[in-house]
Amino acid sequence: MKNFYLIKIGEISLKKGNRKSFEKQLRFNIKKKLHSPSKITIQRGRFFLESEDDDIENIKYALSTTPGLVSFSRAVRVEKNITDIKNAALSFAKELVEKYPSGTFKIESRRADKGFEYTSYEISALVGEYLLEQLPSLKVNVHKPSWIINIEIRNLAYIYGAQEKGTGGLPVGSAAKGMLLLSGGIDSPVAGYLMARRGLRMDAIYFHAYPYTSDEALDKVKVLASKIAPYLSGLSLFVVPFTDFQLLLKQKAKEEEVTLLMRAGMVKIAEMISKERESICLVTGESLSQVASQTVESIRYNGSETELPVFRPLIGMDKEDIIKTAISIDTYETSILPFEDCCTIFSPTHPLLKPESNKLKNSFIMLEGEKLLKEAAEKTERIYFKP
Amino acid sequence: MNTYFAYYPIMKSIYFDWAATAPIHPEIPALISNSLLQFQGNPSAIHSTGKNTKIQIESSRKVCAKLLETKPEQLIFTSGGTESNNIILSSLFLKKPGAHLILSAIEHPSIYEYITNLKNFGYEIDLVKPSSDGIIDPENLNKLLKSNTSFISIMTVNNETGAIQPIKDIVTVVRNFEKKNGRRVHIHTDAVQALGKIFFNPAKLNIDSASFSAHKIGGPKGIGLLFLKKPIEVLSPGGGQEFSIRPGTENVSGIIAFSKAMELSLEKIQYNFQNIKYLKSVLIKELSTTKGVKLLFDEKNTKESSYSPYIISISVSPIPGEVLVRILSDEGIQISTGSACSSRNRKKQIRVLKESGVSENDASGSIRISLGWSSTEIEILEFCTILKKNISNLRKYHK
Repeated sequence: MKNFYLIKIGEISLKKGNRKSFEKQLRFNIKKKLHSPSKITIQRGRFFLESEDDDIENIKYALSTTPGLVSFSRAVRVEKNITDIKNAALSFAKELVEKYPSGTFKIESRRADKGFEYTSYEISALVGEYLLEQLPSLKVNVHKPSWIINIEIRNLAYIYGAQEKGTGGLPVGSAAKGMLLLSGGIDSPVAGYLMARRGLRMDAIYFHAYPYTSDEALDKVKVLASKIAPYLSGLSLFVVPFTDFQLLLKQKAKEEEVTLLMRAGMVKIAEMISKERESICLVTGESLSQVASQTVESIRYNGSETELPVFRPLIGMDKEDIIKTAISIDTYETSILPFEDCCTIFSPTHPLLKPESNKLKNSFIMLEGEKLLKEAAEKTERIYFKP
Repeated sequence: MNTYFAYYPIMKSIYFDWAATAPIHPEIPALISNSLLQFQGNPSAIHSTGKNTKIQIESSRKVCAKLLETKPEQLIFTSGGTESNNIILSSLFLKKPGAHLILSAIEHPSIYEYITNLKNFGYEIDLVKPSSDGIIDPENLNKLLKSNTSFISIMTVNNETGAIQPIKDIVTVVRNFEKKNGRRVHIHTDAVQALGKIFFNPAKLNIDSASFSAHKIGGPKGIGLLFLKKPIEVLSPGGGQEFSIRPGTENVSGIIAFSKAMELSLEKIQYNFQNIKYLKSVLIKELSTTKGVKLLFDEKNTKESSYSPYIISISVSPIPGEVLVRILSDEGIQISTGSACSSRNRKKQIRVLKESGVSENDASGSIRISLGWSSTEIEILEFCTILKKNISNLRKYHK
């Protein structure tokens, strides 16, 4: 195989009895993203990926967006003899010298196979000495090196250079399935990403209120779905025609209750579709007190309208931190495009901040909107986004 | 169906968004296609293929000059109205800062958005606001003139309100002031919505520069014109084309097409004007009795005809304008709105309407109906029927 990668897993390695199922899931998730034939072998906290894929960038993208692995490095493996190890290290060093001409280096060795003739310290010293001989301009710096070459002695010797960061967390599919309420904003894609890192598989649901919401707003949500799809290991986006229910609210609801009742309607539809999709929880981008519908009282009411647990991974996060995460997953620039949904037309000027759950539950019943909600769920369109 | 659109199966609809762009005139596509084949040389080349192209450009310039009653060398082909405006506004950065400029508060963004940079550069800027009818009173402008005023820009026909500004009277006021003050004032006007629609003669108006665009009169997109009474120093250098005012290899087929479109629209300007005026009256008669429709600029409120009949601005508030635009689009009617209810640039979007005396609520519900030479009475009536039906439906939810 052309390309060989050493992958380090994080939290999975802490698992005991069920560790294998997590590993299997991670292996499946990585392979799903690679275009060409590939093989993944697992050895004590390490995954080894061999791939025919010529597109190195694709491999890197696949690995960096798959929850469950903490880092990965392009690597070579050689027989366990010091000459082969030295030569492999030299070829990595030559590449790194080109990248950092005046840099310093360090060799880090790890001997999992205690039967190997040299200790970790000796391996580092021998290889380091060899590199200094071959590349006289090099300098060692064990405290703050510009680059590191890693050597691991296992069944074979594995040599690798720079480590690239992975997503961390647990592999998608290792937990159950949930339904992400995806809007066009900054928060909900981040919420989806964070829950994917906890291993939750997800569908997403978007409420489209055309002609009050523009088709551009829907397109924006599709772009967001495609951007989080790699982290979520693929997702189905459900686009719900929501206008009729919103117009019912406009006609029948008390103005100050409109936002909360609208969100209740969303939760009800999400629950209906969740049942069909075997999702057993909802995920939202709510952050405490960010807007009127995200006060403790509002969240309490909203959660009471569904039997499913509602996960709100951003609940305690600062907006700045949410934005930082959105930037890191490349959703921020799309989220801030000016195609917000036109809910502003339906939003009250003075929404309820401290709703009484029972009172609102009653208001929701008085709307007699169940038929409309069911119809909306039935007319929902599904769009699949590849990982 | 409009017989004109029979040429274009893709536009089987009622198209009332001519102020955004006019459908290409049926004679133009073949002309462009032929000119692309016929004039392939670079007009700056000294060989015969290049020279032929150059001759053709000059011949098109002469056609435009004749139609606009200017000298050919006073016309510079650009990429459109925005670039024409940009050339003029950006040239101000080559002058000594500190002078005083007056812009109307309802200028197109290609002019208005210069304000911050011009201020930072050191210019003093005053905005002349229109009265509540959207029209600028020359007397108000007169009050703003200062001894160091060096530049004025007032749009001839506003693209959102259709208001025709009294350019002639404004020029008279400014020229009189000039004589007393002894300092020359450059008067620029964005005439994009005026060309081919209302009488517009740069020389008779005694202005210094004016901007035009081909695609508003049935020409292609990407070609415009700048009238310049006298050459100016410009910001962008290049290979000397277009008298060095707009360097860059010329858009030959665009130039040929523009001159043709200008010919076609100007030769029928009077006939079309009367026809459109009639259509507007039909539209207004129909809509004046429609509950929930407010005509934003009413001819009755002004002494004389001060609005272009080609642009009619109405409000269906509290129905959001953009919602109605989408619904009508689904029913095969193309109109536009000046403001979007949810946009972050809301303030920018309703600037012109607000400055023209329209309330924020009315602006949110505003839609623009803009007509063109092939618009028909049947279309107007069909449009009104569909509009009324939808307004009546939407008013159940927006009271």
